[in-house]
Amino acid sequence: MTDDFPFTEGQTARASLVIDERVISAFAEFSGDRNPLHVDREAAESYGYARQVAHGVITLALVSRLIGMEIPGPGALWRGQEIEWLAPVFLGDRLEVRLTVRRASRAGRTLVLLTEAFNQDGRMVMKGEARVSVVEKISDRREVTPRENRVALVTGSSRGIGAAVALRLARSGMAVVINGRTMTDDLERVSQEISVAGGRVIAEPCDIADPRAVAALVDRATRVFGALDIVVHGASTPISTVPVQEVAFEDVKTLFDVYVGGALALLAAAVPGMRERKFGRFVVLGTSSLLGTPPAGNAAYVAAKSALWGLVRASAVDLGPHGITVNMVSPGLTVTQLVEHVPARVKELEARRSPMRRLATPADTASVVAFLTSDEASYVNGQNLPLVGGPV
Amino acid sequence: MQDRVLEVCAQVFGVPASSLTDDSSPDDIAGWDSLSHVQLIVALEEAFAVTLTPDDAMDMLSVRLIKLVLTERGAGLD
Amino acid sequence: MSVAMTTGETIQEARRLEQAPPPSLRRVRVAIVSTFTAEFLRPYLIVAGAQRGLLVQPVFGPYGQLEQELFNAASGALSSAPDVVLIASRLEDLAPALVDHAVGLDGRDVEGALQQTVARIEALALGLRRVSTAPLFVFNAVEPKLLPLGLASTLHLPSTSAVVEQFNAALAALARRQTGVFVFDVSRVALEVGLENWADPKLQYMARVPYGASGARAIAQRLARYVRATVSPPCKCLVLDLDNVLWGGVLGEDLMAGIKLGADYPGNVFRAFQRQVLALRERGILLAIASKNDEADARQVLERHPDSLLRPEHFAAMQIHWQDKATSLRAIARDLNIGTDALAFFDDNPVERQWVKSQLPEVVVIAVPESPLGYAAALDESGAFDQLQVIEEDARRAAMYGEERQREVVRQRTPGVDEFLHDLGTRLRIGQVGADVLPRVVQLLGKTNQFNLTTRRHGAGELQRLLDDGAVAMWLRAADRFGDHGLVGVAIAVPGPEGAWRIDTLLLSCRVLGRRIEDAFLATLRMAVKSRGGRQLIGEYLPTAKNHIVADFYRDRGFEDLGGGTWRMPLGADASAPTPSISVEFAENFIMGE
Repeated sequence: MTDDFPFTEGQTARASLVIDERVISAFAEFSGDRNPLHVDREAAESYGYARQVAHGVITLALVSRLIGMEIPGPGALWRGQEIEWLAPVFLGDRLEVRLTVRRASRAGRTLVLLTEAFNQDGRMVMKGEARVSVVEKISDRREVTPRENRVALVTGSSRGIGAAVALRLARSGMAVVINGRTMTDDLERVSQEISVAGGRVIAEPCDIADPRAVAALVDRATRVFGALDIVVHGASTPISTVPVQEVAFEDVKTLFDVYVGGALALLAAAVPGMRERKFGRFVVLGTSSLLGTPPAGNAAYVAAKSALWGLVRASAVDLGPHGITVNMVSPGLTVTQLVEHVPARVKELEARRSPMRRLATPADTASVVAFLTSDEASYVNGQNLPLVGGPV
Repeated sequence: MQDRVLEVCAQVFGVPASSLTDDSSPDDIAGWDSLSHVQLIVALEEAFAVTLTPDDAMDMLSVRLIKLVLTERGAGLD
Repeated sequence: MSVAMTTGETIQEARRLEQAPPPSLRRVRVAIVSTFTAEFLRPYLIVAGAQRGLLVQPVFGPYGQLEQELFNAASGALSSAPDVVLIASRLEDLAPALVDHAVGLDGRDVEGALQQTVARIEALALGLRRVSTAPLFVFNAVEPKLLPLGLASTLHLPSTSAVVEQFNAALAALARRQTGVFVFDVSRVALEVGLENWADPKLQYMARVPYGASGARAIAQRLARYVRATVSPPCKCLVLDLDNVLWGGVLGEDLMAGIKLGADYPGNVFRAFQRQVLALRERGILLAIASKNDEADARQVLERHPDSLLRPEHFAAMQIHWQDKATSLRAIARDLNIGTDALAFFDDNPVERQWVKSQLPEVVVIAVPESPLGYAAALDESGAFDQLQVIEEDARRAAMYGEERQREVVRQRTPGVDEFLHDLGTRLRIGQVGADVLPRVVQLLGKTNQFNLTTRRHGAGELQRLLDDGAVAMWLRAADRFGDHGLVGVAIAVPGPEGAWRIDTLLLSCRVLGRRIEDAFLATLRMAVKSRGGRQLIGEYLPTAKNHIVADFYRDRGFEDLGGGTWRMPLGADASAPTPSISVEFAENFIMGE
């Protein structure tokens, strides 16, 4: 595996830019900073300068480029900057910016960078220091490149496993429709994170238990991105621990409506387009409780997920001939908000009993979903993939 | 409680308490076998004046789990 | 004993003892075969052993493999050449039906199953005997905590309790029948601990560990006493202080009328302690007094106090004066003709105890608690008088010391040795060692120090092997007009090449020395060896710290010095008859050869 923090003190990166009319006017345009000193040669003269003075922040744009693309590069989060402009930069100058790593903390995943800018005469025009964090990638670097740009809908992706799946699919180049029951800050954050990383995304809140809302959701996805190739069904409602004799059928129905009802509605809406294109991927979220001994007090949950598994097996048979696969991924206890109520002892025990000695992470599920939704997984169909860190 | 858990583990498994962490488990402590696990259960019951159930005994798969189980059984936290 | 360690501390201490054994500890290898996970006992046993001066090195066989482990000298348990072998068994495992379903069986079924189980243990003992001479201890049965019949248990036959009782009786009978086999009374240990605290069902069902920490600790402590009794002899004499030991108060201040001894508290506590001391005497432990007191006053209490159970004649020696107690103990040992290491000292004054410890480290100084209520337990717990078997001679010993005082009177009156012997009317009886006397013979081999040419401490197993190999082994009993000394001599000669027989062992108990009994015994040995075709006797003297009195034994009797402590005597036609002044009688089993 490659080192994801390959930075050493003294390491440098450079970028240069000729400050022409285009640069200055573009900056003035989007920033609204039309100070005559910057945009009007005569005005500049009247202030005693022979040439227009460039916006100081343009120097920082080059710093931003180096941080975002070179050191540390993608994953960089620019957290702070000290800056001192030492001399003006003029229209026509050739600006060179240099970054030097001053301190690199692997433990904190942070860098302190010396930022310097010079003009064509070698004169230092700016000096400063940047603090940068390097965000850990949620998923592994290995990209599954789709044959063409696919479109994926991920239900229940405002947080937890669904959010990790949406981010992972976006990273591999898919346009992603993310969904939660309502528009929440969480959903907004996932949307932003994808678009900041350059992905295509729309956030569409909707109740998955409502078939008409689901049909509308699929319709909107198709209209925005032109098609819907992949559906990942991870939506759930909160789960509580109740002994079976206290479980009302209504409790099962509520979950059943989301898992099975939602899946049926998604299939009904998405399959026609997939059949046309002879390509489709359904992945639904299962649970390791389907594989081994379920934890106590989970009757409604296990019953509803079991029904969903039945639906997966049956629809895999029906849809296989059309190039559509239907699979389930069943992670073990995963650290998400959905299991906040699970006692620490139970979580730790699950981790100790796993051969990998840890709980599942959302990223584990995301990378398996990425594989199952790729072209490479075209022969995996009707399966329930256990993600429990060992044999089932 | 934290330190006494480490002390009892150190006594039973024959390792310095300073080498133990919450993550210590049979994976990295050579002396943690089925017999010493039984001894550990007995030693913990004595040291913390608690009675452990068979499930407790089976769940104590790491130092962290030992602490969680003891806390559940009412052993005082410092 | 000492303050109980926690299990964690015990495990740590056991590890420390194994990694860096203190040189003062005596190493004892203990092989343990079991019907359960006996390894759980290991740290408790090592620590309890160390508290008794032993470095116990336990070796465990895999559980449930009794025959495989005991019938094979190369098995995991036996390959270490153990000094002691232990069968840690539970009746529940040996004969589950007997414990679980005794109620459903008829009397014959129970009888049959019990016989079968005891026969299995006997076969194990005999099998072990073929490959090892180590003494064997067998756990007896503990009553289960829950009785299937509940309240009706006592009246019903067969009941679980009755089955356990019968089994234990049969096991004890087996141990009496087979030399070198002993019962480890785990049933008694369970009684002391209490069944409520005995087992932890969790350990039983999850790990086949039938005892919890308190059970394991108690078993280990008792086992350490058994093991120590195997490798070292008990103390021969209990030396007692008087004030605040045999009575409450200080005689010099409270006077006879003021000391506490009687039917009411606190006098009854001291009276009970006297009773316990007297019981020791009845099983052969000598009693002595070392007290700083006025001798006449003290004697008066022993003679006249209406509630004193102990009387002057119960004491084999008395040192009552104002000299220091180490001096008193040395004098007592000299009077009784025993080593100071055979003394146990009981004194309520910690300063006296410390003084004796520092002056005579070999004396067993009993840790006496402050409260007299703890005296009895401290005396027992000290293990100073632990012995695996009390035999007839033991019980007579204390009385015999009384007789010795009368003989001393005759000795002082009589001018010549021969006359003295004649006056004593010594009668010897000599016989061939057989199963009937084996325990006593082994006991003598184990503890005779002074008149012992070779000090070979054979156990029953080794002795049996010598006999199987054709050795002549003779016992000697002595009596005189004052009383019977019992079995006091052992001689063993083993055949070698060219008719040279080596005297493996020649010993006499010190209480019959100086009467020419040894000459009669040696003469008989010569006759016996000659009658078996022996042409010469080879004698050896192996010096120890205590047997210098026999350094010149063979020289004085005309043996030729071969050097290196080896002596030779040809067995010509003149092989003499026993000394005329002593009458020698031979037991029926004594065969002089063809």
